Amino acid sequence: MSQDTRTRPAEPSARGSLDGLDGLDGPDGGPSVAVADVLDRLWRFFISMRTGLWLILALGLLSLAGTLLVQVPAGMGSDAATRASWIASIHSKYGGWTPVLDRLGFFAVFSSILFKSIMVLLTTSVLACSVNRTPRLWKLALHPRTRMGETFFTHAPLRASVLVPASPDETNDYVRGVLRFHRFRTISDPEDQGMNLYADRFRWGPFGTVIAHLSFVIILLGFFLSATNGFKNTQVIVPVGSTVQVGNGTGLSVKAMSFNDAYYPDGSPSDYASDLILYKNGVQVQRQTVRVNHPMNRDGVSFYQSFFGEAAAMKVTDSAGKTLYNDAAALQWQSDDGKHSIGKFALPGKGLTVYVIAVASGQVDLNIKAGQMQLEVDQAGQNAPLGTQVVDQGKPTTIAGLTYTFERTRQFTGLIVARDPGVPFVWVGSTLLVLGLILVVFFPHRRVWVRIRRTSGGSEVLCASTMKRDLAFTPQFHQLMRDIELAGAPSSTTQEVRHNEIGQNDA
Amino acid sequence: MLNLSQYALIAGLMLVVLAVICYITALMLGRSVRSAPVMAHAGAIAEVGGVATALAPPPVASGQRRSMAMYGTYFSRLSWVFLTACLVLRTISTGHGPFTNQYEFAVSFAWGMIAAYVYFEHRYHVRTIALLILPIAAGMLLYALTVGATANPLVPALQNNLLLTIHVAVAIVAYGAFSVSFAAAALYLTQPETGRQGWPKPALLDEMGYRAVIIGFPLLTMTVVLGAVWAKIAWGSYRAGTRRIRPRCSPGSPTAPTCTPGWPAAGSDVVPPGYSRPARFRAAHVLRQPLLWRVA
Repeated sequence: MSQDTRTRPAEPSARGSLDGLDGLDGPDGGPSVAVADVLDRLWRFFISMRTGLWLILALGLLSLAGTLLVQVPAGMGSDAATRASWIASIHSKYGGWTPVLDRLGFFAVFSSILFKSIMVLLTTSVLACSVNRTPRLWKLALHPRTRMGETFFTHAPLRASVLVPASPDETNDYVRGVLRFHRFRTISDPEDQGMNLYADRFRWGPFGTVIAHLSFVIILLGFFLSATNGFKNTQVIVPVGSTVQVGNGTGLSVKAMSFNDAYYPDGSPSDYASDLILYKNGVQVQRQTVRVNHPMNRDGVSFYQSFFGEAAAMKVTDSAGKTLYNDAAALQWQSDDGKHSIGKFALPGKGLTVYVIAVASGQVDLNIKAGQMQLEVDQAGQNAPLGTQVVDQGKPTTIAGLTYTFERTRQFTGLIVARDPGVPFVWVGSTLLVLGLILVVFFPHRRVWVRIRRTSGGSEVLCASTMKRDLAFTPQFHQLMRDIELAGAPSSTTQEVRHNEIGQNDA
Repeated sequence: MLNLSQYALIAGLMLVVLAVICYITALMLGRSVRSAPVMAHAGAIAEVGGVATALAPPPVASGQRRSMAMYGTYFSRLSWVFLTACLVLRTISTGHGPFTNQYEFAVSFAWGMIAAYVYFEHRYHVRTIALLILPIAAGMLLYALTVGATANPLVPALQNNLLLTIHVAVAIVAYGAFSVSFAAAALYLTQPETGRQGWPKPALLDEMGYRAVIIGFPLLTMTVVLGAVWAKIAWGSYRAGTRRIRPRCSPGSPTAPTCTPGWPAAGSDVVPPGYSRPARFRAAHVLRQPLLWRVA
């Protein structure tokens, strides 16, 4: 994770001596040394860039599998029978690989233990790297090393020297002026009265790595918050005219006043709009037309337009005339042969499930004519239905002692209703990620060390810089040297300008 | 207006092709199509008016070669101007960013590639990468011409002008930058470590490719984030990658509602909505359920 491999805290020799100690050898403190050693190893494991890379690679591969392979729909995993039938349904797609992939958990990648474990390890690694790196970056920014040894000025990847006909003190002023002109911060080495200078620019740039690393943790925190404190119901069906409870402790209910689907002349859709009224504890609090790109938001709960279809308005009364059901059943399923649309509703007090069967649009069924529905009433625990009958619109029909009336068809609107408390975290994290990246790549920490020496004709200015992967700095460094030379004295002659040619390409 | 836009596209395509021809001719005339300052690496250099030129007496072909390369540069810049005009005219005409179908995306992508090429050529004076980038851009423009310029109205999922514009525009610039890094990397990898005479030096290609990547990478990150923002607004999830699944429920299963049908999330795949196929808002009739269906 860390870009810097010099992150290992223990010196090799010190580690060697620790490794050499057998925990059993020393009666005093032996075990604690072993514990320290384990912790040290663990720490080094987590701050190692290699660990991070492997974890990211594993995460990437798993995510790829999760993207390429069909995933078990949310909520289905809990029911074994449903899951088994779902697995059977994808057998045609993956053939003999289906059980293998299923066994390996590839149809539920993102909720697998492996995926979650890698996430936890990666988060730990990210945090460890940040903890490990930040103090050093802080020191580098606030208390940099202001003096380098002589060999640095003869071996640094980027170095040059110029002679100026001025005293070292004057030269020191020139050099500082030039560096400040180039927007460098300058610090004189306190022990040498300005003969050694340190200058840098973009000293906060390296913190971009910390920001980018932490942004990952913030994004994950957002997902965690959403998963633990939020909810998401992708199947909220509201027939026009009906009111549906949102549940999940929100006290909200939503009523669809209308649904409108509009099309362009070429048949492609132009608009899907649901006119929704939102009630909180029975009191209307909001009314809005919800469209695909215009969700409704209230109390942290969002309502998204997701699908639509037809519903059959049904009324069921018992022999005493008491109404048992008066709502619309969404015809949300389709029969295997695609010829029928099916809805269902339950009469819990009676242990009955009623299936409402309509002819799918564009299909013909001689038994169910226009304006008719077929009803099938199932009793819980019985294999055969209590009754099956085709009913006319508006005509009460008695099946097994209850009177059923198919009143009319209505449209329903399908909503996704979600409360996502982690969203702000995800967006803040994403913004920080981009900011961190920009800081790292566009504001590299540029450091220059300067040494001014007295010579017979004036002063010699030695400049050197560590240059990692910052090729754009090379021309700026040489410009800096030219400016120092010019500032020193217009008539001065350059004795020697040594350029290291790394990164210098145009001859 | 759409007609004008189409004319600008044709002009842009012709100029790109001309630029490629110029560069190839320049390559044939000499072995280098690198511009003057970096071309002279083999010989001694004299600084003349800030422009380095080869001291050795240039062969006759050298002048022609340089002028051919210069024409290539002019043509590529001009093609970028025409493509810009094409996209601007189309945006004015359709009322939304030119990113909503195959035609518009192909032209925009080519525009991004040429823009990135023009910028990097200006900055690094390396024209050889044009031989890789411009033919691809020309191919995309040709493809755009074949799919037809019909401006389709926006399906509901794409009706978000702000995000449509920002999300895709950022992506186009990122892709453009990456096409430069691709070309630089390809040239880098196909020559020996010490370089090949007449080719841009590996170190220069390395730097250019690196630059292009570090410009493209944050932009692509931004693209992904903006895509997530959009998906969240339109569908309530961070990605629009929900696939169409047709689960079957076991007969008589009491869990029909948990057999989550594959209809949410407007059925667009990982591919951004509207490019490979228009994102469709799906009606309810997706789930196929073998109910206890006992009608003869």
